[in-house]
Order: sequence, then C-alpha cells, then structure tokens
Amino acid sequence: MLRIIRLVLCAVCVSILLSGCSSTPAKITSVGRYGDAPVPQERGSSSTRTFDGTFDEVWDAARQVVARNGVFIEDSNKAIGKFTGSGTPQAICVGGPCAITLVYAMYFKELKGQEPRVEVTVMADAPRLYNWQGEGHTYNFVNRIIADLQKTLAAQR
Amino acid sequence: MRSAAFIALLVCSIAAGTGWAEEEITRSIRIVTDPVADICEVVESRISCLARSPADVRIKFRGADSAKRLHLIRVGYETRRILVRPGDSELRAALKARPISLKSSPDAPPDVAEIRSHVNDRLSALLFSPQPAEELRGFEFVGSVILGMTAPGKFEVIAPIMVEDQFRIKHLGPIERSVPAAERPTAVGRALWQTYVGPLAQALRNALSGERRIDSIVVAASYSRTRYVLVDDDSTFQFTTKAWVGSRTTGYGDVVQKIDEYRVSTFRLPTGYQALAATRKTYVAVFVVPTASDPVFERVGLLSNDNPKGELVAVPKR
Repeated sequence: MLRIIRLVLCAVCVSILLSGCSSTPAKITSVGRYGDAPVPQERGSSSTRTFDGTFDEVWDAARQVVARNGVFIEDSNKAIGKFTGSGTPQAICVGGPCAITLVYAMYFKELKGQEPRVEVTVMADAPRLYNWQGEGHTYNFVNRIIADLQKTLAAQR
Repeated sequence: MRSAAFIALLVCSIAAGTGWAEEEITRSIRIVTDPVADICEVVESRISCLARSPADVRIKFRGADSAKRLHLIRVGYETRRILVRPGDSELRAALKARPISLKSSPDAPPDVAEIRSHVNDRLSALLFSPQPAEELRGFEFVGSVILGMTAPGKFEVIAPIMVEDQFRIKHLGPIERSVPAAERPTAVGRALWQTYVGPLAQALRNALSGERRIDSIVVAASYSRTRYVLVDDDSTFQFTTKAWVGSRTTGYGDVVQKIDEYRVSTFRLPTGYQALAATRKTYVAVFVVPTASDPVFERVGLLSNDNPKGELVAVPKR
C-alpha cells in the first residue's frame, strides 16, 4: 500500500515538473516567422521607404542601425535581401521605462533607375502582447529604424 | 473565407518571391584612372582594394539593374567615387590633386622662398608622379605641408596626415586588449610607425636628401579611437500615484455623502538608468625624424595626446 502511495506521489511530482517545464514561455525568435518577400502582416507595424545608395551601402548601414538599437540579427540572407532578428529595445510604457520583446524583419530591393536606390521594408511585432498593446511599440521601433537608417546613410556621404 | 485569404497570401508571396531575388551577374570591367590609383570597394563598412588601375576588375552584381560604387584612392589626391553597372565595359576617371604644397608668402626671406620652392618640387615628384610609391598607402594628407624653422638656417618639414579607419580595428583593438596601459602609447606609436609613418618618413627623407638645411621631418599622424563609456540618460518620465489617506462624511440635513481623500504624488524617473555609448575621438602622434640618420623607430622623437588630459606629451620608447 505504501509503495503504491509512493508511486502515485512520484508520478504527481513528475507531472508537476513536466507541466512546469511546458509552461515556461517559448523563446521568441524571428527565424521561420517571415517569408522571402514582404507580405502584409496581421499584427504589428511596418514601414516602407526608399533610400539613395547602392544595395551594399544600404544593407551595411541597416545592419549597423539594428545593432545600435539593441536588437539582434538571427537570420540573414543577402542574396534574397532580407534579415530578421529579435531583441528587447528600450521603450516607454504607461508606468515608465519598460522592455518589450520584439521580432522584426528587414527587406531590401534594388530599384531600377539612373541613380541607385533601394526600397527598404521594416516589419516588427511584439508577440508576447496583444496586438493593440504592442502596436505603439512596434510603430515606434519601425520608424526609429527607418529614421536612423536615413541618418546613417546621410552621414556616409 | 480564411482559406481564400490563405491562398491569396500564398499566391502573393510566390509572385513576389520570384521577383525579389535576382540572379547574380559577374562582369569584368576595365577601370582607367588619371593618374594611377587604387580601385577599392566598401565591404561590410570596410575599405577593400581590388586592384591598381588600369585594371580589369571582376565585379559581382546582384542583378542586371544593380549598381556598385567603387572608390578610387591615391595619397595626395581627393578620393573619387564612381558607379559601375553590369552594362559598363570600361570606365575612365580623373582624380583631383590635393593642395598639399608649401604655401608661398611674399614677405618671406629669400632663403625660405628658395627652400620652399625646392621642397615643393621634391614633394610633387614624390606624390604626383605617374606611378605612385608602393609604400604610400592607407593615409591621407590633412591640409598642406608646413615648413618650420628650428634654428637660424635650419628647417623642418612638417607633414600632417590622417591614417585610415582600418588602423583602429587592425591595430588599436589588439593593443587595447593585450598591452598594459603604461606601454600602450609606445605600442600605438610603433604600430603607426611600422604601418604608415615609417615608409612616409623614409620616402620624404629620400626625396629631400639633397637639401642639407632640413634637419628633421615631422610627421603628425592623426588616428581615431573608439571609447566605450557609460553615460547617464538625462531624459525623464513623469508619473503620478494616488494613495488613499482616509474618508470623511459631509452632507446637509438628511443627505450624507462619504468622500474618500487621496494623496497625489508626482515622480520623475529617468527613462534609462545608464547607457553604453561609443565615442570616437581623434588623437595625434607626432614623430620627429632627424634627417642625419636612418629613420628607425628607436631614434625618432615621439609625442602623443592619447591620454586622459589630451595633452601632447613625450612618449618614452621602452
């Protein structure tokens, strides 16, 4: 009888441990989240702008910009013209400073024309928040990246 | 409805995907410059030189409409940036010389005017010859060369230069990590000497060898250095809290009303406590090279302002 009780207790402990493990929030990653071309997303924010410069110049500047904004690059494919990543950039919430985990993707497309120009699309989402909560943060992030990219490219000329 | 949206999304993504990644094209393009210069490109924010003109350069393009920017670099000339496209077969470009010759002044004594003219001729022969000296690479003159008088009848030629940004990554980084703090100025001076200043000093000494009145060559080499510092974020965020302190009743006649009283406090918090900021400052290392002996690092005078006070002080060469 005692052995049965012990077995039951052991099974309960194991199930609690397992359930504890499974309830740990999964790591948020951008890998596999975005396709090879920018497709309108149901959540988050996005922005598309055109920049003067060659593909290499805009690509290098964008990688510097995301690093300076405190987010990481997780997946990069220069042949396609896309890199994605995640991070927890600084943000302002209702109660003060806060950290919101974001995933983002940046797409680069060379445009035809006399002068080299590149169309850049930035998409971001805050997967741990409801869309209405995260929309403001992703909007700020996307526009900060676009503005910083413009500043970085302007400084290189 | 959802399946229709999914199919539309799939079709859109396939259609967009086919046009997004283009086929890479490699073209051999002949680049001719006047005068001869290094043909370089910027890869991952770093200058990488492909060849010396005239040369057939193989360039990879992302597609038929793609463009690359090449940098034509030569010491003594302004860097020229040109666009190349897959359709180009030959590109020609002329570089503009920098005004680095000694400036003349009408009231200068005759011996100064004479030596200035002599130095200008020799500098032009060294820097503006059709074939550039192989060792003069990776730096640029900042302003014009200066003639200084060390004693009556004795002169020094001062060449202010700025070294390439690669010096920061290739040399300063390893020195910061591996050399003790007290020996760093010497190590930085040695790296500058071996990479840029030594070859320049030797070339200037050879060029000015016939002029005995020049007793020293001074090379002032500027370099930039990144420092990482923790800075306080000065922006603040205002918020208020309400704390219940009690309640009281008020009323007239039969009407009694309970009123809660709160203490409202307003706070200002910094938006971030401290942030890691990178600052890039420019420092200068001055090398005084006597023309009487061979230019060897151990024999040159070295001064540097790469110290917390930013003062130009003599650096001991241990």
